[in-house]
Amino acid sequence: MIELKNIVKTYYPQKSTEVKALKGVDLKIEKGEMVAIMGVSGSGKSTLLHILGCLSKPTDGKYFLDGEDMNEAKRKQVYKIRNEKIGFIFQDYGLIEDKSVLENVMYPLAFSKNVKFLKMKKTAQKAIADVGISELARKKASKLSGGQKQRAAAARAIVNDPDIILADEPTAALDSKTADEVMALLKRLNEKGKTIIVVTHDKRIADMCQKTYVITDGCIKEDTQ
Amino acid sequence: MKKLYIVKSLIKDWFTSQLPYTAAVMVVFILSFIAMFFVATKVATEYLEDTSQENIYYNELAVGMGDEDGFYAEQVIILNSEFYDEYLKLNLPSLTANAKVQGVLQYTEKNGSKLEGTDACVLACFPVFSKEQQDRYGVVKHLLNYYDYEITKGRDLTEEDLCSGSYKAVAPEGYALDVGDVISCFGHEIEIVGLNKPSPYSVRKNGHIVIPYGFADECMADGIYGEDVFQYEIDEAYEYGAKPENNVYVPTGSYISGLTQVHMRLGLSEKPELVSYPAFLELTVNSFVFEERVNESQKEGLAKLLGITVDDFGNGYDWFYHEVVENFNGHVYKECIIAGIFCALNVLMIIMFLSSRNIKSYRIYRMYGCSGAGIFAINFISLMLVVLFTLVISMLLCKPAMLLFSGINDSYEFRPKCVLITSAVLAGISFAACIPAAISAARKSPID
Ligand SMILES: Nc1ncnc2c1ncn2[C@@H]1O[C@H](COP(=O)(O)OP(=O)(O)O)[C@@H](O)[C@H]1O
Ligand SMILES: [Mg+2]
Repeated sequence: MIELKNIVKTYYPQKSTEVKALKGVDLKIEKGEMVAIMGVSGSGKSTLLHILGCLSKPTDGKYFLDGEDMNEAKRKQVYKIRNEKIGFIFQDYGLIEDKSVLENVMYPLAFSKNVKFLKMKKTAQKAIADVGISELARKKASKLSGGQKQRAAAARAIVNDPDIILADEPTAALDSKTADEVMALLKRLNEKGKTIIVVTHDKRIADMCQKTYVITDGCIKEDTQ
Repeated sequence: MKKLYIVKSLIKDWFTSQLPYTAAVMVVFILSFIAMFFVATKVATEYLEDTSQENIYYNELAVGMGDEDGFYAEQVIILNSEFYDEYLKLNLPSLTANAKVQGVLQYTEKNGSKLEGTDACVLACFPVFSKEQQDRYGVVKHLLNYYDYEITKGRDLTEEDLCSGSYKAVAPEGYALDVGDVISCFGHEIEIVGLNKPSPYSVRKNGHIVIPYGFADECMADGIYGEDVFQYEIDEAYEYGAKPENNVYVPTGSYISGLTQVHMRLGLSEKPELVSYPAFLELTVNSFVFEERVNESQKEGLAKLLGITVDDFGNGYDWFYHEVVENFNGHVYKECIIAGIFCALNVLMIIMFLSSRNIKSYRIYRMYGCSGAGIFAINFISLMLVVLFTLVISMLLCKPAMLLFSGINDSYEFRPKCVLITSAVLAGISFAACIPAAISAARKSPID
């Protein structure tokens, strides 16, 4: 379960270039939910997602992940959480282009304590099969289409069997048909019990989620329509 | 094990998709290596030569620091430039008409034809010592820079030639004279009966003409001699008197040659046997030079032999060591430091460059839970492996590179030691360069 209390994120505090990206965000996301976070460009969606993913720390406020205060967590534990509890999907896929899908999907396993070296390949292959691109496993990431890349990224996100998948505009670079396919994939993962948080500025995509939050000017509220 | 998987994956990238960049980096590295190797070779060559010089001078023991002149009269033959001429005049053997002398002379006619622009004169004359005289007049012989000659064509002057009154001569080889030529000098015809050259033991390269003393004497009587001509007198008593009592210094050794006005080189008639010495390189009038460093017991032995104390030895030629050697070293070190800094910067930059090629991968690793230390290790190990690989190639290329640059090959020999030294230095520099590269990689945040 995710709980944010009065999260503030200020870039360059007390400088002339100061940016208040988040101005006190309260948010509660239950395990197994699939939520969308909407907002115009620059409203602070990515910033929020980075905090949720423990990729950056809030300037102020509290973040509880499964009851644990992330502000207090040791660095080592943060790395462990990033590796085991969270999967990331980005608009630009975030794949290493020169490497095969299989290798890309294997990387998170290399930093995991749970999977043995000799099991890495098998585990990765299973994740690739789960997103339905087994036949592309040996292909270089740079040779894939956008939809295929996003599936590969999804495979990488789930390879360590995390509870939460954070997707930052996963469909923004895709045509609507492919976008629907990727969303269907996320939905299927949600049905398997994963908490999914999708950041988007596309109402159509947000509508595919159970709940939608809207960020405006660094503040969040649930869209109940 | 898992980290090594990542390292393998990075290195694979460098040698597949990023090969052009990696190759460029390797070429720069190899060129730096070879440049540094050349510097090392140059330094080694010049420094080693320099070391041997240093040893020579360092192992010089100068005798007699207490005396005003710097010499002990009883023990060594006193000789300095003022003394020189006087000593010679007093000690030259007196010559009879049928003695042979060697010297330099100019003639006015050759084989009947006149030579333009020449004056007849005898520039210098030295006695030709008989075997017996050589032993007796050892000091004089060395002072005169006397040399033995060999006949290379024709014959030497015989007793008969010397007494007959008809002048004959043995000309030095390599001039315009040949056996059978007749030259004219002061109105006397001289027939060339042989050619000579200095014996192989002599340091002289060109010879003297050998003529009967009778001829020189007659011309001398005419008063045509130049100022340099020596008066030939002999005073056996003085010659013997000049010899030191201690036979260590009897200067009749035949392997010593060459003379300067301030340093007379003397030979040893007997090798000192009291203590074992490093081989003598040279023995001058007031100092001894050994091939190797002389230890304290050897010094003591030598001092006992000379009847002096060890404290009477000073180190000769310290000025050489301090001024020449240190200047030279300073110069060479400067070159090395410049080359070293250049190579270090080169290597630092190319390693940073190589490291920066993987920033995107590092971000992804970080995002998926790799620690900063993990990135450091991955980056450092992968960089060092590539460096090691490049080092090995560089080492193998040193010799071919030397052959390629024939100028370097000609003046310097290939020293495997220099390859190793260069490798060690560059490995050190690379190691030092990989650390900031790895730190900078480890500091990259997973998000930009
Ligand atoms: N690393 C950063 N440094 C400084 N300002 C940033 C940084 N990341 C985001 N911002 C600023 O914070 C605000 C929110 O950005 P972001 O969270 O990326 O918005 P969104 O993802 O909704 O487009 C923007 O004004 C952006 O310029
Ligand atoms: Mg964004």
